[in-house]
Amino acid sequence: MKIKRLLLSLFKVLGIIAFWLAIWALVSFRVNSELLFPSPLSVLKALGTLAITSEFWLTSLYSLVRVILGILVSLLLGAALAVITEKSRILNSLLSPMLNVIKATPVASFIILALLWLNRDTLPLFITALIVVPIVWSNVSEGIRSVDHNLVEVAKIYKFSAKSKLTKLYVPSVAPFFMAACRSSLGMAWKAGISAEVLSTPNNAIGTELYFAKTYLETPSLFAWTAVVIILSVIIEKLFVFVLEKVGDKLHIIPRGVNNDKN
Amino acid sequence: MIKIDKLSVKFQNQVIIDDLSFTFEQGIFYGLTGASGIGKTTLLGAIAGLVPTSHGAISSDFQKLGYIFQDARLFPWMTALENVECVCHDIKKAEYYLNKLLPNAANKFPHELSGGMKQRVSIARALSYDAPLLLLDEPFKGLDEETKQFTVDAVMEFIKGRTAILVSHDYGELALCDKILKMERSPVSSLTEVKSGSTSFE
Ligand SMILES: Nc1ncnc2c1ncn2[C@@H]1O[C@H](COP(=O)(O)OP(=O)(O)OP(=O)(O)O)[C@@H](O)[C@H]1O
Ligand SMILES: [Mg+2]
Repeated sequence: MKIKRLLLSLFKVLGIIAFWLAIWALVSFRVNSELLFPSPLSVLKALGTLAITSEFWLTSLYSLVRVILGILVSLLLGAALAVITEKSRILNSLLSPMLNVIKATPVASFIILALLWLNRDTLPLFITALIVVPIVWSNVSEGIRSVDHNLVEVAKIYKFSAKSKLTKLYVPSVAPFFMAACRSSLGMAWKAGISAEVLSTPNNAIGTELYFAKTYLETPSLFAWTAVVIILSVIIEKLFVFVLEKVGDKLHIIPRGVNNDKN
Repeated sequence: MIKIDKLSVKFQNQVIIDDLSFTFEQGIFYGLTGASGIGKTTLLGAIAGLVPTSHGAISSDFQKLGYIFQDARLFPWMTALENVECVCHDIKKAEYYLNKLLPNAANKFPHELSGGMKQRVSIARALSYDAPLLLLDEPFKGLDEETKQFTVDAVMEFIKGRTAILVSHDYGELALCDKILKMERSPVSSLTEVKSGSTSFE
């Protein structure tokens, strides 16, 4: 019964993939130009030739590490800013306009500015932070504001220590908001990081490869690298959420038995 | 002893408690009744230091108090047992009280419990804290007769020798108290003792 259902959904997924591959193949057949719209087969071939080189893996790894590092730093920074601005009204008034300005500024403006200010290796990290920090900041702020006042009173009556208040009340209350921020920012951070790489062309970077593929008109290679970005994006998101949930479970901080979206 | 001296409490310019004076004596189990909205919960909150007072003073000899809120107020991310254990820091004690009030639910999360079950976890939590003063805000509301019986028994056993204030509208519950107080406003707030057994307090 279960196996049958599994097989059925597998066929469904394969069917959907086959459908879009067929469309792709058809379009590229009609366009009839490997330069403008390569066929699935030539993209696969390009991917194959890439995958056997060690540079390919190194490049992917470097980009991945760069972005993950950026994300980690941003998560910490965003959460810290949220705590600070929720604790101090003055800092909140001072810093929240900055949040709004960053949110409203196009990433491209930042990239161009950052090209002037920063070296090519730190730029993608900076761009990642610009995407992730505001999202984490505003989500965690909202989480802190929405901590149940009734439970704060319980913690007061039973004289919770500062540590207990943090680990048993605030962190579990804010955790769903933090997770939501991760979910919605990771994919964006990754894409923005790659875009930044395209413009700053650091050594060993997927973005740099995309840039060269464009420059040398190697469209199959462009498609192949894009496929790599997509695959890694899915992996990052799944991996991050998985790790966060595991860590949360270990530390008893992620709400167990409660739906993460409502409380 | 809890000495309340000319206490006033305001919520957004609306006076809820007005010029109330009263002294709660050590070791007495008080019943507190009065019309809905008169300010009973507000008074317990003021005694517990949760509600800011606008005038007057409350001086209390108690460093520690247990509080059974009108709603259960459990931490949704903790099991029933963890909810009790997090206040008494003693797993044996937590198990003892939880078993007494709500057996076979130690590992259940609040959202898996009914309203009355959550209320009993909240009672177990307050008792396990082992404080000399216990504030109870309609703790037995919504329990069926049989459950109420053993819950009341557990609370009564705990209260022996301690100071407690029980807010209730239930005649049977109030009859268990040493003294019954009725909260009124005419026009200032007052607590007046009514005789147990008389029906005049409702
Ligand atoms: N946080 C608050 N903000 C504003 N008004 C409040 C607040 N808490 C209570 N009140 C008001 O104070 C009054 C007294 O409320 P309280 O909860 O103390 O009544 P009560 O005597 O406990 O009633 P009940 O028997 O229904 O529980 C009510 O009119 C209520 O509207
Ligand atoms: Mg009340």
